[in-house]
Amino acid sequence: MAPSDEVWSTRLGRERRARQEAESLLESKASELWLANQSLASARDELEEKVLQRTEALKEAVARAEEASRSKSDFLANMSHELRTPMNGVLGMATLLRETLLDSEQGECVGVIEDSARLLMQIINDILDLSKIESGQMGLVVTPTDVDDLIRRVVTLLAPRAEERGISLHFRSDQRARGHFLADGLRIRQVVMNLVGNALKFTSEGSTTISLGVRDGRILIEVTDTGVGIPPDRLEQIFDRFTQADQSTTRRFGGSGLGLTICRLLVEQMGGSVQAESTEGQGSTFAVELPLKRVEAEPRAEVEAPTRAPEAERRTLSGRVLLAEDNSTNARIASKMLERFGLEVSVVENGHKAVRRTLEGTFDLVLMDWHMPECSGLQATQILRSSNQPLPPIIAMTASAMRGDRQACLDAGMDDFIAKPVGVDDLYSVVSRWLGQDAPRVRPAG
Amino acid sequence: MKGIVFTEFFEMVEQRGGLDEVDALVEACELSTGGAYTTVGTYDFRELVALVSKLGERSGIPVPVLIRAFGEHLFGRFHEKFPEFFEGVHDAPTFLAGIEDTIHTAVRKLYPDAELPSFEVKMLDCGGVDLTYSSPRPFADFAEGLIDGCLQHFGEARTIERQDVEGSEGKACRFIIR
Repeated sequence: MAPSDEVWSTRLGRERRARQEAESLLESKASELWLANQSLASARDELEEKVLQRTEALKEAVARAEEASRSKSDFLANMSHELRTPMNGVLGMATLLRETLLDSEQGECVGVIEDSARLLMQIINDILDLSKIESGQMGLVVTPTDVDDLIRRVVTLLAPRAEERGISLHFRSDQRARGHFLADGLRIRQVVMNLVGNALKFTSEGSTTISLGVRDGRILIEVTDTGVGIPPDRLEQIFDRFTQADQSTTRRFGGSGLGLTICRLLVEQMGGSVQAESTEGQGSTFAVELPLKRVEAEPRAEVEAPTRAPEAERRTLSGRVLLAEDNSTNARIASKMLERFGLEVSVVENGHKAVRRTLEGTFDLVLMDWHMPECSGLQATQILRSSNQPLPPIIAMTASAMRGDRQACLDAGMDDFIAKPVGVDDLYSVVSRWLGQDAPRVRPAG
Repeated sequence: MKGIVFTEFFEMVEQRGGLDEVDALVEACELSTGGAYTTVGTYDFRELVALVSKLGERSGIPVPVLIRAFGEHLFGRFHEKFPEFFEGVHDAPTFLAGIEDTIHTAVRKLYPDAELPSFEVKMLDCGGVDLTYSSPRPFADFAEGLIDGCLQHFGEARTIERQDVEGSEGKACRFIIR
């Protein structure tokens, strides 16, 4: 039996109510969704606002940090200069004093002054280096470098000290590590000098061996000694700043305790690592691994330690030297040294006078301080170079020994650079080279 | 066009002519939806035009008259379904002035892509309202019906002066309600 109209109408009504219910549900859900979206949008806006604020705060913090870093850098440069200038006076005068006629007691006193001054310079340099590395200002200068040759030079340089201490110094080098690598030779030299210096310092008998090789495609430099060794529990700490194997070390061996810290930081900056192994009483091995890229290209002239001419091997020089130096102590020291070489010296105390006297054309060489009142050595050199007059060689002589200063001097038109405090041997070798009178080469030690 | 306009149109026809009249209309028109509308859907406005025309044919009542009548009906239903839009509103000009800001904003919350007509409103010194309607669809009559419904709802006897914009074919016109 077919349902009646009434039944159909009831069914239709039910379906219609269901439709309306569904519509109403859908609208209320849509409304909830809209509200949820609204709160999400406002949360997002708040977050974006927060991100903006934080970014702003961070930018300010970075700006403040950069400002602080700049102040630190300026402070370092100033300190470097301020500390080296008086040290120049102490070392220079001690050297001059040693070369006068002294009785044995006086000689001993001068020796102590010289040793103490050198040690102090080393400590100052270490602290400055550490500060520079930590403030990220120790930039690496990467050039094709013959690491094998570089280490041979260090060995040659340190051989007399080993001999003095009765320790044999060996160098073993692996064929595979020969040739040129992209590296900062000056910094590798600093690291090797430090490790070998330590090995010699802490060894009283036996030997120190430096070996150069290759491990896992990396350059491996190992320095092994037969010295006092390091207790196992101190091995890691010896790389910490101002730390030595034990407190008595400082009293027995001296030093700033910064050498190994600097080594590790330098090596890490070069992408490598330093490891120490030691057996107490038998000796230690320091291993430096560096990821260096081999280059086939013809190397650039390498930074090398100035060849020194011991006093006995100096020849008498001749010529006229203009010394531009505002500090009277420094001027006296340098004058005395130069006069001792046989040179005639005139002193001026600022850049303007240096320019005027140089242009007189009667000098064979100009030694130019950087920092002088009225007109700096750099400005004076620039003026001289732009004069288009024939000029004698101009050599910078300054306590501004931060890295990059050398380049600034060369860029200003100077021909060479001597860092203060100036040692008599360094001065002789540079001056004699530029006066065209070859200094005799240092005799190979060992 | 929002589904509520279709469902309410059927409601009105059903109230006045019964379910059979609705069936007859649906059958007489070719509707892509088959006449199944829900309030939450959106449908082609031409289906409404077809339905209204067919109703005019069948009843012999002119289409504009039908449309205005539908407008009045719809306004009454709005009041039943959405009393919240009437809270604190005590006269027709105030209500008409709030369409754009209050009602259309609420519609867009639920239907962000709804294509709504626009109502530009200027209150008149005499207490009336000057309302310019424009829409992508030709429903000026429908708008007039809604305004009529609004006046009736608030029990206001006002005159509606309608100025059709030339060439707009019912898509734009101005109502001055005094």
